[in-house]
Amino acid sequence: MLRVIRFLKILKANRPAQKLGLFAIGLFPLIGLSCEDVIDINLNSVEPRVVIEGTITHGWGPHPVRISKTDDYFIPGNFTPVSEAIVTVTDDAGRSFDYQEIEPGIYQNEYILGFAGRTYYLSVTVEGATYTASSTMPETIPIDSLAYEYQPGDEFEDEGYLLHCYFQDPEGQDDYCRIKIWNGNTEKWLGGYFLYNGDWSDGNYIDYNYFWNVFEPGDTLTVGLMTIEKQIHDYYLTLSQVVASKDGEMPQGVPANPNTNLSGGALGYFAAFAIDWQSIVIPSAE
Amino acid sequence: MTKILLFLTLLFTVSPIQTQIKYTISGHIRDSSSGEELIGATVYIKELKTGTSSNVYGFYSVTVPAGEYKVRYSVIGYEPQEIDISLTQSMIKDIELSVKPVILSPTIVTAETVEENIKTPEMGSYNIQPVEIKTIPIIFGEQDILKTIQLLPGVRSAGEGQSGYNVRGGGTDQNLMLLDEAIVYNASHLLGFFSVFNSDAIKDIKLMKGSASAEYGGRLSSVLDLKMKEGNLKNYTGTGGIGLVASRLTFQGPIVKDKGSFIVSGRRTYLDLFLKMSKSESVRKSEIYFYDLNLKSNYILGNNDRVFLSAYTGRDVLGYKDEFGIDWGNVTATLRWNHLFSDKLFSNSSLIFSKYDYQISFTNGDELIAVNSSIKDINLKEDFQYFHNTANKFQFGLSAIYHTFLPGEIKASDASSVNPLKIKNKYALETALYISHEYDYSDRIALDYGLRYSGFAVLGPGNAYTFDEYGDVISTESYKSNQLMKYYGGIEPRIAVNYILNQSSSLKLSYDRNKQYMHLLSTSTSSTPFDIWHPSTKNVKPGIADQISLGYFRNFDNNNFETSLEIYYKNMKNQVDYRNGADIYLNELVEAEMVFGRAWSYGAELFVKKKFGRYTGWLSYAISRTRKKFDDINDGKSFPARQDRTHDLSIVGTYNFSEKWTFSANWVFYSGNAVTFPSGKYYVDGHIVNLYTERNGYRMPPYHRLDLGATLNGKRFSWNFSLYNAYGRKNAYAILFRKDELDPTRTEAVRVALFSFFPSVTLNFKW
Repeated sequence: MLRVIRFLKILKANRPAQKLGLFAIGLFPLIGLSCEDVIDINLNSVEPRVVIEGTITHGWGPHPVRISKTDDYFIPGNFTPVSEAIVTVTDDAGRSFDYQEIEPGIYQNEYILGFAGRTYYLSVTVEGATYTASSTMPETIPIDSLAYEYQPGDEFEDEGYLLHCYFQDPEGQDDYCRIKIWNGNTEKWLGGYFLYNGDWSDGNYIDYNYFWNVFEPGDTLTVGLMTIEKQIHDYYLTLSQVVASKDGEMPQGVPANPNTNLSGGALGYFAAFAIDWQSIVIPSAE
Repeated sequence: MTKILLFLTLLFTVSPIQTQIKYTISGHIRDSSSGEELIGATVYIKELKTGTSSNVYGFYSVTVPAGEYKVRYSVIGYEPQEIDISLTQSMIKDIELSVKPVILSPTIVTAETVEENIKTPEMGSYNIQPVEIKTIPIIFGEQDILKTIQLLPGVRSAGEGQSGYNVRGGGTDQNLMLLDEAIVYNASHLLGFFSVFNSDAIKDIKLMKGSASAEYGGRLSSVLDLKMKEGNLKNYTGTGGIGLVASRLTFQGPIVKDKGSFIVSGRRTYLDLFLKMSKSESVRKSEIYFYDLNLKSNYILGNNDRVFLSAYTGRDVLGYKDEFGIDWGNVTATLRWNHLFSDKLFSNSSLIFSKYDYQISFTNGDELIAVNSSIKDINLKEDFQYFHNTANKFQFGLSAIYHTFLPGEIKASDASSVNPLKIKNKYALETALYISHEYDYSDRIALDYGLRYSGFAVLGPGNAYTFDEYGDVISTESYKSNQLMKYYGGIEPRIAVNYILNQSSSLKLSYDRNKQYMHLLSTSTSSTPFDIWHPSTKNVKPGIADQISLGYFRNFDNNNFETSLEIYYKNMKNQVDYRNGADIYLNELVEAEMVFGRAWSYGAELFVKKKFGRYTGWLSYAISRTRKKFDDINDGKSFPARQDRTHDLSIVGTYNFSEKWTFSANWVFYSGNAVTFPSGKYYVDGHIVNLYTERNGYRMPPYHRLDLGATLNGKRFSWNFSLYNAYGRKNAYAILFRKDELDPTRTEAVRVALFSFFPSVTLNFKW
């Protein structure tokens, strides 16, 4: 059933679809049918694998690369950072940048100036194995404006404010975006994978309002519109289906590791992206 | 065609040499109260120890030497009739049998004949009358054919409460579902929790898990052939019922007594009527319902001709306020003409229409978006049955289906941020030619063999794409209207041999090949209305299944117990799966998202059925294995299919306590399906992420459930009570792996159970 929702998300109408899906599924809990229990289950132990997460944004660094290892599923606590890796980024202009480990498992080089249209090549050597990836930074798509809309609330949805993010999809090219929202006061990212794929809306003025969140008066929101490559869009899309923090979602098809652009068997991704920011304050009630 | 005629002639000449003058007794066998044709009724000539059975239109024909005979007509649930026939010329004998009253005292059944299940080479098939399964408790109290067949060996539910099913390791799209010969493309209502087949309108159900006659084809794993009731030829009658979910009404009667009749049967859910009473506007504006309407009429034009018209339409409607709506459904129609060329040659000509479609609409301010998709068939079909003599029966025929696929279209208002889009229609012509021969070689050996030639022509207009290994288009060929884009064809042989060991046991062996030219695009584990069909094309080769099975059939206690043990091996080529993150909806290049491999399945199935007495019911058990191998999945290593389930047991029992009360119970147990669980985890993009190491490397927990039912029969009214999952076991519908809400450094496994016990009550009435 939730795949219905996913399909409709793809249809770029995630808000009403989500509600409809919940409405249909909602019938089961309503009549007291479905229930959830935490259970004990035996899972195999896994040989630790290298996880690499590297990003390059336009402008100056730090452009961090995080390297860690996987863990068995039920081991609590933090993930093991990988130190003493050799991390290098080169670009298509022939420049090469070596990264320094600034704290365990986090490597950076502040002296890279990210440019749209430039392709970056990452190389990471850990324990004798080398992992590589490349990513080309797309042009920035600016946010035209942000707006909020009051939702009265009823049986299906909470009362509050919905967010709209307006931007112009550039005509004649394939555009992929990801929108992130931060709480402007705490600078805490609110999570979620709000992806945009311009396949069906090339050249249109976009009113992106498919956020799950409902906001309160007084909230300050900072919105970042990231322009990403198709391979990174696909990574985030397949990642969103297997993150462990998303509750309520039933497995759709057969779950699988996300489609990474890293070679050599590492998990994670390397993305060069452009980002545009805007903020909005939802006024407190008088 | 000439080859086939030649083949036919050859077959006729090898049949036993005729030394005596022979005559034919033929006619129809019907129910005496309604005039409904009885399918599979036995005609037995005592003196010759031979006979035949009626076909799906109730017609029989038996050719024997002149003489004085006692002919016995019988079918389960009816009083047998024995008549004396002095056969000095060919004659028409139409027979009417009357329903046997429910017998509560143990009955003695005399086994003078070898029962059909022992005698025929047919294996892996089950015949069910809806009356037989009326008392079996089903979830929501709603009689459901597709859920009942899941209690048979080798047939598995695609998920808790789901009407989708897997047969002998095959996919849910490998089951051919025919409603009065029309293909039903999506048999699910309400996201799979109900099937579209309204039991009130169905007369006969036949499920074939393999060794289906050459008449059937087009799907790899099974055939479910449903026949709608014809309508009462004698009286006007009505039946109906009010259940927890839906209410039903059926009306039937003669148009001209004993000449023509009609039946209209409808069903609709009524939960939405309560939504309309809500105080909330949002609830009032929302919709959720489905309905089915079956219609059939027939007219007997004379001894040799009869015409039928049957139609079905059903639809689901879901609406969320006035913002969003989905509706989907099937339409089928069959126009059929039965003609007797002689008392030995029966023909059936059909013109069939079927369609499945879905529509989605969104309104968001002044933005309006509509999406739709459909598949549409026109099918012309011609079948002949030639009853040569008691030892030889031939079937032959042909069919041609013109498919129109509309993969998807988006219509959007000017104000919308979505652009209109149409995925190009696809067209195909699916043809078949078949012949089969049922041959009783001797008292001990019977054969049923045949050949089917199937062809599939993909027709223009359209584009054929060539992809590289990454799924990118490297070349595109355009075709004009009706231009042949690709042709597939091939022979599908079928053979079943029966060796009768004695009156009550036999050994059977069968081999059959099936081809499937249609593929259901679905990445989900349960049925959704958006699952659409895709034809075989240059890139998508037709599926091929070869199955071999061996069976031992044995009856006990004067045929009161029927048992069978079958083992099978099935190999399936050109199976479809998808790349991770595949975008299969509204995608012109959907073929780039597919990957291909093979699957195989083997197992043993035991079936024990008790047919008579106060207690009736069956036990079915299957042990099996199904694996798949795809170059692009699981590093090319073979893995268990999702439907792979080692043990599967169902026990179904009915107890006729008195004329008034009938009690029933089912117990279902199965070991868990293969499933993909994470083995590890890692941290990326601010989230804990599940790490998968192999496809379907884990098992769901074992599943078991007891359902109870009771029926109180009255003259006009009857009550049906049922309790689903009586001991309230929390069977896992899914297991989710996620972060602990309270301690985000921990991850946990969460079992989701959909239904604990669920009671329902249905009131049925008739007049």
